[in-house]
Amino acid sequence: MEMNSTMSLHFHPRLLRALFGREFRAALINRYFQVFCALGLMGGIAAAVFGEDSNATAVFYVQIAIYFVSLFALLAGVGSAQAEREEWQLLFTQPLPRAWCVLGKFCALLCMFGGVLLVMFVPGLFAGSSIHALGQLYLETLLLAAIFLACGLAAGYFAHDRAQALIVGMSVWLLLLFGLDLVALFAARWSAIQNVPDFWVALLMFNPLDSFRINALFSLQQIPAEAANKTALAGWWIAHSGVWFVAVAVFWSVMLVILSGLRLQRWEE
Amino acid sequence: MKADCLRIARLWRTGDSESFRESRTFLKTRQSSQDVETPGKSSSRQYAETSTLQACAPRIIATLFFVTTCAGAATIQQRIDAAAPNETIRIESGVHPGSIVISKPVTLLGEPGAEIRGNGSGNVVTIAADNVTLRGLRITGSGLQLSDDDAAVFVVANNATIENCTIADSLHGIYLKKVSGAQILNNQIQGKTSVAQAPAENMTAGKPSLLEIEKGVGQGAENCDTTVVANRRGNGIHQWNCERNLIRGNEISDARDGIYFSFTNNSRVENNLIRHVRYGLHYMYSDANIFENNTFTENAAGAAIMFSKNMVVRGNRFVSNRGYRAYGLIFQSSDNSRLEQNDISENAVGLSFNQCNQNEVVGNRVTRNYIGLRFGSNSDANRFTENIFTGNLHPIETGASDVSGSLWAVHGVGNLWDTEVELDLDRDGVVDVPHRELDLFGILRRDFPAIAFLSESPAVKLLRFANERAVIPGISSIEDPAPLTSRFWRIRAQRAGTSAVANK
Amino acid sequence: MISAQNIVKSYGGKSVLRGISLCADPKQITLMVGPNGAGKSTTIKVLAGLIRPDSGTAHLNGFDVVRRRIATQASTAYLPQRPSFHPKLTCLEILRFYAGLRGVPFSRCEAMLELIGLSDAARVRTEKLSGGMRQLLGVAFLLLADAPVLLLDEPGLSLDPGWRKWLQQKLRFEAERGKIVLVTTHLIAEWNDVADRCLLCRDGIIERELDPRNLPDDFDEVESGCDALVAKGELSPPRATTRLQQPFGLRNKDSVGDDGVAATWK
Repeated sequence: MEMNSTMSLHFHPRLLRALFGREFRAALINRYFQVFCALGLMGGIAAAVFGEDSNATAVFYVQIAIYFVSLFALLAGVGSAQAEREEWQLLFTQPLPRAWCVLGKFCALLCMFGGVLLVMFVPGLFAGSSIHALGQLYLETLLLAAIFLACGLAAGYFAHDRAQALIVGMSVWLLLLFGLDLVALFAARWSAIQNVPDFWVALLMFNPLDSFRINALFSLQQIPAEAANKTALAGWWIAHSGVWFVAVAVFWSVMLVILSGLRLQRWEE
Repeated sequence: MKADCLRIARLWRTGDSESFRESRTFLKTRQSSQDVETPGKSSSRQYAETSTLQACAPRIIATLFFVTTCAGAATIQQRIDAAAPNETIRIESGVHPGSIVISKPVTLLGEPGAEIRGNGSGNVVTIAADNVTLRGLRITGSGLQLSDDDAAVFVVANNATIENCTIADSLHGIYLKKVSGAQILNNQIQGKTSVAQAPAENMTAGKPSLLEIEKGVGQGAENCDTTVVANRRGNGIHQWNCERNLIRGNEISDARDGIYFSFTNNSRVENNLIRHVRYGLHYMYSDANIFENNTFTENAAGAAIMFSKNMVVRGNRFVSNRGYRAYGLIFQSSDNSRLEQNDISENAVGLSFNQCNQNEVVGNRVTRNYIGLRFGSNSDANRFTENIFTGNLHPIETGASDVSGSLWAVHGVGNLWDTEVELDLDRDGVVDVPHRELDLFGILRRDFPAIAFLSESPAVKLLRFANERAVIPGISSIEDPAPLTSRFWRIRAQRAGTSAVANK
Repeated sequence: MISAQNIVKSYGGKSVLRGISLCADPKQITLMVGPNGAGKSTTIKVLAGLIRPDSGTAHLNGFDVVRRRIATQASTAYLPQRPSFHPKLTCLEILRFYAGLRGVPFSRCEAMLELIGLSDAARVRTEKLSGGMRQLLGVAFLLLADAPVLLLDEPGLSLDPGWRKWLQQKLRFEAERGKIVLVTTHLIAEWNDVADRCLLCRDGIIERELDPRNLPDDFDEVESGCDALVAKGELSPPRATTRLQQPFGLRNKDSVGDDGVAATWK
């Protein structure tokens, strides 16, 4: 009987409704989020206007996703986690699992990003891009946003204050964007690494930004990939870059959300 | 008869004029004796009726129908032989047996559905007289011996015109040998991609099967790995030792090389579409030719221009030649030529320059290639201006070559590159600071092909950006002193319009 | 009913709770007093489910606060020392969020704001509230769910005397409705003659009970009173092993209860 009442507390839809409502409300009045929406729309229009053809438009969107969407998703995650840092002692005395707070926040933010990205991608349709290609790119960009949202939330929950969270989050973003590839570039000059190309490729495969970029390059831009297709793993990656990116995105998002949940579970005042 | 034709063809190819005259006389004698035979009793016909009767029933019935209805009518060869010079011979709809030799200036005008079908050996139509015209014919069934240069249309006389013909099921499409003034216009040439199996195997399962001698060129992932098989095909249009020919509006597919040039000068190649072949253009030792508005797409190795000079390559499209080691356009050991307004996109290597000197490379669009520009050794005094090098995974590959011998801007106008910052304060469409295009991966491309996965990486862009501000030592780069902005052409057009108005 | 036995909690080797045992009954206001650093807030956070004890057990209405945290929190309302809220949300949005979590009708949010006199500030962002108003919003949050257990950590620190009085009366009212009310404070004089019981918490244990109707003005008075009792032989410290350094000294080891609850004082 007790267990039943506890379970019903765990899964009552009103909890999700309350968490979603709060996140939507907080995001709606968040200046950074408003700026993100505006920039997203401007980026979408710019992609449609300045993209010389549908392919160029897609490339433009890829650049926006890599540099802009990833960063804003990360900042949104950090900001959202830190915004209620002081409120945890109220929030965590409420009868709901703490992990729900993370999950609800993640889902709500992802929904909002879904909406903003939709606004961003719609102008591309007017530039002559096919709805199929844009739809695919939209979903992939959303997945990229999910990873960085989860990353931002984790940074926000693990850090002690907003400044520390921002430093950690930005460091992770810079590492994924530039750092790992720079290391890979210099490591590629060592014969020891050259003898194990699959290992080197595997390291890139697990970087969500690399995974997104390769998928965009070889499937969306139609650039010949045969020259890179020299090992079994490389060939598999190029042939299944879309599937792999989805897998990487789900893996990282779920893992980071779980980590955040565990962090909250162990948090003590 | 077949052996005789082969012998004559060989004699023609040797260029021995005395033997050639003898052979023509000999051939005429044999043709006359063949006229006594009914076509249905020829050796090939007998074979078809006895060996593949059931399987080939529809085709055989059609052929028999034609033969029956035409029984008593003269063959094409007879009609040619009987024709007066410059006479037009109408070829009726239906299959007409080859091989034929045209030894007087006549026009063969095919009615819709007219086909000249060879017997699978030697040439189908041999043009041995000047001023011959073939128009509106379907020509099929040449021999398949590469060593004999078997072709659907074999031209050894000047001023031949081959127009609106369809050529299929043959080794070479049109073979031009030591001719001038030929006009090859609006033909469709499809190479032979399969060959019938031996009769015993052919009858398995009650119907003839075709042995695929190779997959379609351009469709494989590693197209060059199929070259052994592709080498068994002939070329779409083959020219050797020719002058002043015009090749226009042809569509060539599934051949070995689309258009083959060797020792051929002062010719024009315009508005052709070449796809699904090995080399779209295979071009050597030929000077002063003009290539204009052709499309070379989905070929194994794109176009190769080698050991030649004084060419104009203008307005062509070299697109989607995507095999490993495939090129949009290879320029090898060729000098004093002008490459202008070509679109070189989505190739494994867009434009390759090696040992080329004093060429003008103007206004080409080299985009979305795996390697945009490969610049090899010993290339000097080339002038690159107004080209667009954007969207390439690796914009340039220089290896260890010295690229400083070429000019990357002419009269203060460089090229458009992917650049992070376009500083153009005077708004003339020319960036105010030089652009250094970095060959970051260098020899890693060969030693460690997986490095390609870092293409377009933000890290690589960061290094390129840094290199634009300050040279990174030890890494080869091209320096364009006057890189263009994407607005350059618009600004120039506006200024040209303004000055035209002022002049008025 | 709240019952806690031998709750121990350390942070980095420093013991904060050294075996707290207490009980609080319904229809009563139980006061836990003690100087700063005595462990009052930690104790109440353990009961609220914010801190997991190193050892010991605590039950609220029969549920273990560690093992059945969600169930205990469903019947608990906790007011922290300095309640903080999402700075960008308004008072009403804050209350509605918690009402949504608890399944409380939204109409109760407006009623709560009216109760604490913040109706006018219903649509003001919490970052713009003064300390006192924030404390009042905390009180509204406390009362919102009408939970049967009310845990208050140093309530009314930022409130003016009028509102403190109001809060005490409100808590008395809630207790009389059958609720368990546990309040920690170091301002003992403020709570004189308000509570039904008063537990003295010092150095991580409940040392003894004080008379809730005759509370001293400050802890110096408590200590001097203790010394007098010790001199007369009427006082024995509750825990011999842990009280050696304390001013009360060691008199009667047997007075320590087996259940760990401090000895009752006259």
